[in-house]
Amino acid sequence: MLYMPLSGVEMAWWPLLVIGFSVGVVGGYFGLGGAWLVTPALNIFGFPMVYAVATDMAHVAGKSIVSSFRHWKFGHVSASIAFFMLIGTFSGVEVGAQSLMWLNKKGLAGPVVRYIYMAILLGMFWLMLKDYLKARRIEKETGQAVGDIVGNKLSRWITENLKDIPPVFHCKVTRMRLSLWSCVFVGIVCGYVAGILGIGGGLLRVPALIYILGLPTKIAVGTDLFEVMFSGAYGGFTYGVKGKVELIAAVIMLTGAAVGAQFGTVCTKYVHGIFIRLVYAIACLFAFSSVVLKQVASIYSQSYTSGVKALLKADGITGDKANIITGSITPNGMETMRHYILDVAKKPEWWADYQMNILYTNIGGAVVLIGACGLTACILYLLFQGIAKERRELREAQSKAAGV
Amino acid sequence: MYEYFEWVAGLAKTNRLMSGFLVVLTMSGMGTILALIADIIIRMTGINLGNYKKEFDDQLPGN
Repeated sequence: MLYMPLSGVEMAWWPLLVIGFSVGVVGGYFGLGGAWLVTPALNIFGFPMVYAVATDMAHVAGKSIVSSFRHWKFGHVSASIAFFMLIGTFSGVEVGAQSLMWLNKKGLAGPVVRYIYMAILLGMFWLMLKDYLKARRIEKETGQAVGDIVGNKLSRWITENLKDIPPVFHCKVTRMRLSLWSCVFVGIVCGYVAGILGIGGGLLRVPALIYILGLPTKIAVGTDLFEVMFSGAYGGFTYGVKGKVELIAAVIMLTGAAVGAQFGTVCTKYVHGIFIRLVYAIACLFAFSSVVLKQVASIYSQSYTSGVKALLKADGITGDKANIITGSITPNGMETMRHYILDVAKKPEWWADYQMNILYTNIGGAVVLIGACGLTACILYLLFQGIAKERRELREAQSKAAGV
Repeated sequence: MYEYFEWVAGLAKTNRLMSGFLVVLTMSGMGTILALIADIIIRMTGINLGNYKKEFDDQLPGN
């Protein structure tokens, strides 16, 4: 068992390695960072939420280097777009974080954040699935394979109307002429939403690059991961300064992610961009289900949270510490809650609600973990199928050449 | 190795700025090293890891 020196959590090393591997595979494949998988998984294994988010951020900083390296070699990364977006991202994240603090003061942060998150996930699911079905329909009608759908009405309107607003640059990878402002705009929007939701931003950045700037899916994924190298490092630094990063857990996850990311990124070579969109849509659906369950769990927590916090305050426990205890789903946290609810407050109805909160939170985490395992298996299957096909074609070409 | 992590965790309580820098340095350093090692291993499998003909090339501007 490993002892986490900052949060005091004890856990085995292998679940960290498995979580890292899984998030490496799916992250390398379609660019989603760890917020939708690592945070709930660490939370289930006993990490208080704030440590789970911070440790995830730190591991993402390292993992994105591994993924970007491979995507770069495949020609999926537009460094210029990523750098210009980064300008907008940092300012957007700050404004988003300020908005979150304002909502927090009003006591609206939890539900508002979750409803925005649900709307975005459902929107992404629909957009990606719609394009996949459109591609299949075109294939049926024309008899020709549709590998990806590049650009749409919105992206064409933006690139056409903004391309002459200086400063303008030519992106070699996408062969597009773009105004710096369009990239900054995408960065601000994605950064703002990431800041208000407290997520890395990949969830929104990949679709934004596809639907607003009109990038092909694979370049959107590679460019997003390249940007995450910097935004993840910034996130890791800020949480490190706050003393919330469990470095040992982050390093073990990174080791697993480094292997997983190789499989995920190499797989992108063997599948078409449109199929990546389908897998992305499925991932959004799993994440959506998990957030809905979390929202249901939070409804149950309303009955006892303020009452328990008042009792904790009487014992001199306030702020982050009180939040960690009332939001805890770990055995130690449950024991503390049991003491305050049943022994001190003597409220069995609060205890019943607390149990329901834990049940729905755990089901939500399990949904994400099952989804991640399924997606990982699917991506690995596609990878091995692709490698086998490439080898077969190579052998056939060699035997043909030898025959001639 | 574990001593290093404990030392950084200790720094998080005494010198937070240094702790933040060390988190970034450790993760980016480990990320770079692991990326290079993984590259060598994957290369040994014989998979073509270079630039390749992409399905969207024909849809990009200039075609």
